[in-house]
Amino acid sequence: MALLDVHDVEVTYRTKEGPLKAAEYVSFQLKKGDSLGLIGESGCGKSTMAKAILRLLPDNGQISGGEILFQGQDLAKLSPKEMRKLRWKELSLVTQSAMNSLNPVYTVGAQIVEAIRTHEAISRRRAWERAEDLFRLVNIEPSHLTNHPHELSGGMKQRAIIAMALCLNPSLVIADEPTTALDVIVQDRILQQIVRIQKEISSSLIYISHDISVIAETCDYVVVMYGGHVMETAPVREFFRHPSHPYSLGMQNAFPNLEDVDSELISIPGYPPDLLNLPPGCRFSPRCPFADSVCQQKQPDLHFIGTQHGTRCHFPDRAEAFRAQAKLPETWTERPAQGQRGVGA
Amino acid sequence: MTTANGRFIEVKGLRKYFPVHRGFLDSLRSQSKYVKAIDDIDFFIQRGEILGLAGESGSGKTTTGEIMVRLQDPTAGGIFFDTINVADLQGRQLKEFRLRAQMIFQDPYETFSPRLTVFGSIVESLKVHRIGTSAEKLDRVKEALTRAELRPAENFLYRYPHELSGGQRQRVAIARAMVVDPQFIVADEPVSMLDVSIRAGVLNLLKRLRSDFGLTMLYVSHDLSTVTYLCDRQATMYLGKIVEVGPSKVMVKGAHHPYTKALFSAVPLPNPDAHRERTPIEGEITGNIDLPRGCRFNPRCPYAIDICFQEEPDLVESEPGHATACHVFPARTD
Repeated sequence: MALLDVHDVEVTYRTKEGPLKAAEYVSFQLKKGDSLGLIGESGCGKSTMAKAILRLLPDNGQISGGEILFQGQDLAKLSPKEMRKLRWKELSLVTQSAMNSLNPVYTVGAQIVEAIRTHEAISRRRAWERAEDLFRLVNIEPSHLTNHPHELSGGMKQRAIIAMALCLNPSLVIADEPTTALDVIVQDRILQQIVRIQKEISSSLIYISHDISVIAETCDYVVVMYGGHVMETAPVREFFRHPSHPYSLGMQNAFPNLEDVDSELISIPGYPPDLLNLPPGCRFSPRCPFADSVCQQKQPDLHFIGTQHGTRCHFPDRAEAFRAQAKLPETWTERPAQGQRGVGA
Repeated sequence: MTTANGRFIEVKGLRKYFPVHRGFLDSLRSQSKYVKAIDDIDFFIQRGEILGLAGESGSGKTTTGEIMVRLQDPTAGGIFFDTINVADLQGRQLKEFRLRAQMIFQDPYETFSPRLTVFGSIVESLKVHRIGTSAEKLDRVKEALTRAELRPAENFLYRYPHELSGGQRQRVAIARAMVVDPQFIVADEPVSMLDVSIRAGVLNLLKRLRSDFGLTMLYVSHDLSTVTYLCDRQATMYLGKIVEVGPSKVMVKGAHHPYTKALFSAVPLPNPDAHRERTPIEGEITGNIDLPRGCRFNPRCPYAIDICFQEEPDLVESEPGHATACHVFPARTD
């Protein structure tokens, strides 16, 4: 059984302009010890999914459909109190600006000890020892536990946060762009550590990012989201060797690659859709160079073209041809004839 | 017109020190300390060239960019633009210089007044410089938007910043820079806040502006994958010094300085089978108040030898156009 089974989840935000569906028909599974990369641009619903799983949606947001089975129980149906017991102990979160969420008036060690003792009945001394182990795990000298947050560099704070997220040996860690605010060298080191630690303590990981190269290096599976829908899902090698959804092809084209510095980047014309004013058919159709009239009218289903490889496209069997055509810049320069272009998030 | 040796812009002996006030007692002991944000750098940019300035935060790359368009004043040194020294400009001359050199900032969400429309933001520079009648102003703003590929321009003129996506805002920022027909643009991390699918478009737009209008550019970024994609040559900065400079295509294949190598090797690759060889540098960038003796990179350098702790290395050319400031490099053959 999968550790996490997200099934047809729908998340709706109430807004002044009306209900906004930030995620719809989102399904994916994650086994124990595996890592899954959730890729997408801002406004695609990836962070919404993280918040939905942790039940941390803002007041105007709610899970309006589907189920989130975690170890067999539906998180969407748990009471806030039951959920509080699971959070941190079983499900923990590392966010982008997490390093700013440390309390400036307490030492880092005191904050970790507090977190541990809130969930486990162990002595202060034992908790401190565990904090020391965790700091070693994330490569920080344990003596820094007695420092206040301002005495640590940005990279160290972010690593301290990762240590805190791991302090109760959670079964699932959700990392939402955990390195975007950091310099490249520090980012790289933290990525290496996340991968190493995740294997060591065999927890599962959901890694959320817009950076496909980070996902390529950290995850076993890939889920691509666009406009609140899962567009493609596949094991990581399969995704990079045989991307099948036109959006995935466009993303891979647009990404600078130091292994191949001579080819031109090709951008996807247009902008991500406005979730309040979605196109009727496929959400990518206004920007898709291969879109047909059916794409503009009917939403495609997620078609499975391999055991674990799904693509939400009306033409799953034309993937091979799309891959060849997508490499040509002229495929993307001619703007699709019709279709609204949203203002974007 | 270019400087005597054919270089369009030449920076010589540039320094920027910020005084650090550490309290009353220190001031009595008259121990003035300085953050040496830029510590004696030289470089040049040719006409129509894009030079990349790479480094981590704290390396001085943004300060360098801002000084080149005189948003900050240098402590010492000169920026020679044609025959004039930008560092000496005052008053009216400085204002005229701003018609030739413009800047694009990192955060497209914070560079616009939320109360001005796109037209209002862009026309501001024309008003300041008293360029054109109102009809001409409108034409120029439209043309600038078109150059920034916001087409049709009419659809964007009267929108407010909050109605635009990040990519569109950055294009408006580019239009605002282009409206005065500059010769030189400093772009400071212009794509780091943008989504990936939008990034490529903005980078390609910058490339096109260079080829269509012969713009000269300084591109400041910590991301060597975009620097290498966009720039003809690139310079690596570390704690206020340029430690390596050379053609991008050469440096990506064989950087010499351990810090440049580390920056390249830290860039993740969109390939699950890639095994990156990382240059193992230690720690994080240190503050630039109390610099180490010798090479300022020595605390993090895995290859440091005795001389690195004694003498500061100079930038030495190893082949035409490719120079490195490292004691170890000339002896190393890898």
